[in-house]
Order: sequence, then structure tokens, then C-alpha cells
Amino acid sequence: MNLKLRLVLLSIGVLLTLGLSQRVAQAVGCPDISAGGTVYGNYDCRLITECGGYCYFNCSCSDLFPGSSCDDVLHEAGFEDVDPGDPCIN
Amino acid sequence: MITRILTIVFLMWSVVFGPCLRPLIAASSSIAVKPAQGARGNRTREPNLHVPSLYADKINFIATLVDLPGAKKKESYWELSYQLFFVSEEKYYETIQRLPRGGSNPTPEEFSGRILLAEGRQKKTRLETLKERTITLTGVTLRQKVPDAQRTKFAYLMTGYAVKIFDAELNTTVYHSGIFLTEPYETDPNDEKQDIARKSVYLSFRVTPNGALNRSQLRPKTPISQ
Repeated sequence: MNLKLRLVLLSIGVLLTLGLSQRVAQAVGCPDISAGGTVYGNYDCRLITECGGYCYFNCSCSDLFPGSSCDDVLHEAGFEDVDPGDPCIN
Repeated sequence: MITRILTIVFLMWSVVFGPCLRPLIAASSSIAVKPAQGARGNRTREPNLHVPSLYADKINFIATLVDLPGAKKKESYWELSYQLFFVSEEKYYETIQRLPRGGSNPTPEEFSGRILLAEGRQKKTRLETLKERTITLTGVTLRQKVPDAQRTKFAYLMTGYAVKIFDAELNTTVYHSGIFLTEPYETDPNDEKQDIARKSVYLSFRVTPNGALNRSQLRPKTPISQ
């Protein structure tokens, strides 16, 4: 097999890989529920809306470690604060 | 020999690092592999807090197809089947405990003890105006169907849905089924410190220009008169 043919096959392989990655990206969206626990307490979040590539949730917390807040739990779980004026939720 | 080894190594790299390059390629997509997550309205649960006054006698269900690129094409259609349930606080948290940690997509059937409030199925083929792209169900009985002891603050109204949309402009069909959960009450728009009984449950969809489906349970911003 000569070098040119190998390079062509290699390019096809790379394109297929990237193409499949994009398909997976488009197939995976926001979960309806996100729930779990952190060292500060437990949380359960329900999807409100999908907007601009973000998932917006309404969350509740329980079994909080003394002195901790629901914000602590959610930050630890990787959630970001939402600006109350965010156009996605207004 | 060296060329073969280099080829194999490069192919392995493309498999391993291919997904990392995805955001560059899918920048125009509204859905990402691992979307950033935002939380709002976070509150600490007060178990079994009895709040019968926050349960309306009747509620409305309003489903809207907010955006559809091919709305003016007569071949476009929107098919929706929906079910509206009440899920008691006890059964909701029982189900949550059984779900895998992190994100999940449970079906309505996974919430045992759910109470069916309403259900329906519609196919709409005239979609030109927002009014034509809206399905409204009024006067759904809530309070009478929920036993008094279950009228607590951390119980939920659950919408189960399956949607199929054909956009003749994009020549694409999108499908999705899922659930939305919301409280039986909402913040009083005149006093953010007060809660009032929820009067309406919303379900809305948007088909983006690239054929992705966005869903929401927020009240659509666009006035229904369009």
C-alpha cells in the first residue's frame, strides 16, 4: 500500500470519528432530572428549560450538613448560579 | 514499519481526542455533549409541610410549538401525546432514591402512586400561527383528586409527553419523549416572598434552524395572539 493511499484512508478515518462525535453531541441533551449527594447534603433538580446550549434546573436540597446551605450543595455538585435576569428564564 | 505504527497511533489519537474537538465543530448546535448546568430557585426541603391552600381547584394545561422553521409549509405537522399527573412528595422522593446519581430520564411509570389528572393526543397540520401551534386544556381538576394529606409543599405536578414534529422546510423529523416536574404552586408575581396556587402548567417546544429540538416548561414569552 503506498503512502498516498494510506493518507487518504487515514483522513477518512479521522473524518468519520469526528462526524460520529458530532452525532453523539446532537443526540445527548439535558436530563429531565439530576439528583445526587455531596459532602454538604443531597440535591434533586428538575429540568425547567433547554436554552442556548444550557440546561436550567429548579433544585431542592435535603439532609444538609450543619452550617451548609443549598447553594453549597449545588456548587459542589457542579451547578452554576443563574442570573435572575437571564433571558432564558424570563 | 514506522509508517504503519504512525498510522495506528494517529488513528488511536483521533478516537481519543476526536470528542475534544467536538465543540469546534458543533458550535452552532444548541445541544452539547455535556451542557453546562444552571440552577435556580434552590430551596431546602421541609418534609411533609401541609399547604392545601397552594393547590388550585382547577388548572390549565397549555402546550405550544413556539418555533418551527417550516411553520408555513403545509406538509409540516406536530403530533403530541401528553399526560398530566400528580406525584406525592413521598412517592417522588422514593423514586429519586432509586434513580442513578447524576442526570437521568425516568418515565412516568417509574413514579408509583401517581394520580392521573388529564391525558390527550393531538396531531396538528395547520401550524402557521402561534395560536394554531397551541394546544389548550382548561379546567383540569386538581385539588379534589389529591388526598388532603398529600397536599404538601414538596409534591409535584408531572407532565409526561411524546412529541413528533416534521418540518417540511428542513425536511427533518424530530422525536422526543420525557417528563417535566413542577411545583403545584408558584411565586406571586406581585410579591416574590409569597407563593400562590399554580393556575397553569406549560409545555413548549422549539425547533431550531439546524433541526434540534429544545423543550421547556416555562410560559412561552411570545404572546399567543401571533
